[in-house]
Amino acid sequence: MKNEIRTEFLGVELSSPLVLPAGVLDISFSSMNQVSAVGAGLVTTKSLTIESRKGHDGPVVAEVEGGMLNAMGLCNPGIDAGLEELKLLKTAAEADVEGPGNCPVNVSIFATDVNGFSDLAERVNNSEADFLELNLSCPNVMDEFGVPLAASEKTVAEIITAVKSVCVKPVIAKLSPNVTSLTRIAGAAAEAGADALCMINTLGPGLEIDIEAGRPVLSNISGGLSGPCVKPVALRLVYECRKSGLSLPIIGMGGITTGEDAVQMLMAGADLVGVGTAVYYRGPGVFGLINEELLSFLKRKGLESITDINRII
Amino acid sequence: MIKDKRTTLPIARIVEETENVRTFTFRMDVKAAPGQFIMLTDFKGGEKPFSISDNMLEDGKNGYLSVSIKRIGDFTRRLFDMKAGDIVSIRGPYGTPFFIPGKPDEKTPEVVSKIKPADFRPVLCGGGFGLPPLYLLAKRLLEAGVPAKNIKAVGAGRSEADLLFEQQFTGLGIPYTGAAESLDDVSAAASLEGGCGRICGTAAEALTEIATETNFVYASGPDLMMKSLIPQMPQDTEYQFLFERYMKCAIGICGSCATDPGGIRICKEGPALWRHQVEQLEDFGVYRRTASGAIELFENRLAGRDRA
Ligand SMILES: Cc1cc2nc3c(=O)[nH]c(=O)nc-3n(C[C@H](O)[C@H](O)[C@H](O)COP(=O)(O)OP(=O)(O)OC[C@H]3O[C@@H](n4cnc5c(N)ncnc54)[C@H](O)[C@@H]3O)c2cc1C
Ligand SMILES: Cc1cc2nc3c(=O)[nH]c(=O)nc-3n(C[C@H](O)[C@H](O)[C@H](O)COP(=O)(O)O)c2cc1C
Ligand code: FES
Repeated sequence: MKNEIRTEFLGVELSSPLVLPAGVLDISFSSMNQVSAVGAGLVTTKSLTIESRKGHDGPVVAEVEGGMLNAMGLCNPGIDAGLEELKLLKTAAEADVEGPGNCPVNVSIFATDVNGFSDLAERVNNSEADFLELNLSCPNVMDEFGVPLAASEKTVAEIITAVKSVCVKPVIAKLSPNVTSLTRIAGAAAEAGADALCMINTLGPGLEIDIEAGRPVLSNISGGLSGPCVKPVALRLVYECRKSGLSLPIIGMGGITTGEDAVQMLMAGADLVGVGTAVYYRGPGVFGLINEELLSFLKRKGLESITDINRII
Repeated sequence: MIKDKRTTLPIARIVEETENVRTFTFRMDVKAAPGQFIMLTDFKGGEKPFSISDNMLEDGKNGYLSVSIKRIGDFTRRLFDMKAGDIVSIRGPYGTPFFIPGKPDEKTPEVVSKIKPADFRPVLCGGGFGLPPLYLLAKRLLEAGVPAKNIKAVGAGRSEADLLFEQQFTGLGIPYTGAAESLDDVSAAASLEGGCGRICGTAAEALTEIATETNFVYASGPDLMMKSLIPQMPQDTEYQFLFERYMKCAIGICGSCATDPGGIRICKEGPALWRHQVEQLEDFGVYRRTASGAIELFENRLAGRDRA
């Protein structure tokens, strides 16, 4: 029997359900191309803003038990340079006819209001992007911009409506776990016309203190939590969205590190699975490794395709 | 279990090497290989990479770690205001170190892996604060059985006063050629930060003079300095260069330090890269990425047109 991890997402064929999420190895075309070549089915760019941002001062990461705190501070070269990077990525991928390094690209954008998102979305609409992702949920810039936009159903709906009116490419809303009811926000995003959802962004934020210095470890004081310790929360949130009757495709992420984690995420109701912090534990080759692990799970269970386990609970 | 541990401790000692370079020593018992770096923070905003220059005191006492730091901008200026006993925090060591003969791995070119320590005749060529990591390298080469007379050191600096570590190298019995260029124009000033003033010429000249006996080159310094060495090497000479790119996470996830077009991460697969890796780089000596990830051409940097 042939085992199959190829899948389809919003009408586009993907070689694997694994997604490189925003913020991990995705500042330059080279990193994204490499991740695509080692087995990701979809890569996401760093969240791009209108102007370039240096990001927060270091330390910007702190490993904690079972995961990672990060407060990168949305460092990115700005939308124009970011879309140049996308062009280079598409050119590099085309040249790489032999390899699988030719996966679709999801461009993530971040703004602080409806107009900002529309402006960015228009530019992405005129680019080579395959999908547009709205980062409504960064927890690391609250000092600067206040509570993430994903905290309000009304704001989420307004942004999606505005973006849909200027962008014909499929729009993915990236949601925050740090809200009272993610299910309600997800419902609002669906109603406003989002084509898919991506969840979860980092949890928290959290705090780690250096007791010798009597200071927070991160210069931003707090940072978003990711990695294996957030996986149960991510699984539960994806599951609850499905149980609420949501039928949109979901990119599920948060702590996925092994093939078995990915199987859980697919069973919980995700259609694609993001793999971010696991790059720290298993290297960029983690995409190829999880693909293998998914295949061997299918084989062991006598299943043909990952769609056989998708949304089964 | 947490792999990326942080050590917060007082500075054990500060030694002034030149007016603008100081060696900071910490009482820290870690296995450090030459070419590896640490991330250092003073908890006042900023965490920066520095190459390890030694792991013992002059009297041979182990359990120490030193970095030699040049005063450049805000962060390094703050370090220069610190005293022994002040608290800093360190993570690392990080990165792929320099090759030591007799200890090849899967990336070592075959010709190099076959060279015995006694037949290894390397030149160690460093520009500015690129020299200190070569000192730790020299010590490891000697320990591996490379005779001191086989090794040559070239130090390049903006002026005589900037030539670092001469005493340390000669103390190991390694001849040291200083290549200084006086600092009288802007391009020379920019040279040690990634541009190329005439300093590249001087380092390259010095290399030409001593390269004939050589079968390996190690270099560490600004891109353009390292690049200027290539045409001066006897044909087919194998080399390793130590790279600098903008470091943020230093643990291989953020992508800040990635090179083009292969995505080699300088914090993981680097900082020491083999010739066959260097030959693939498009950015080497042409551009690098700033803190935002934006591409900055060295030419523009020289002209003072810094972006983001
Ligand atoms: C692997 C590696 C090893 C290094 N080893 C040494 C060393 O042994 N001794 C030494 O004096 N310096 C070393 N540096 C350079 C050192 O990190 C910078 O000089 C320092 O960060 C400057 O900080 P600043 O705030 O004083 O200056 P800024 O004004 O902030 O910056 C001046 C220049 O320093 C560089 N720089 C700043 N921040 C970073 C960063 N996070 N990562 C990389 N480069 C940066 C940039 O080129 C920048 O233009 C090394 C850099 C790397 C990448
Ligand atoms: C270093 C780092 C940077 C991140 N940057 C972004 C970002 O710019 N935009 C975004 O939407 N999410 C960002 N995230 C969140 C991830 O995309 C992902 O939602 C989260 O890390 C959970 O997945 P993981 O546990 O597999 O990493 C970042 C995460 C990390 C670890
Ligand atoms: S600094 Fe190398 S990947 Fe983050």
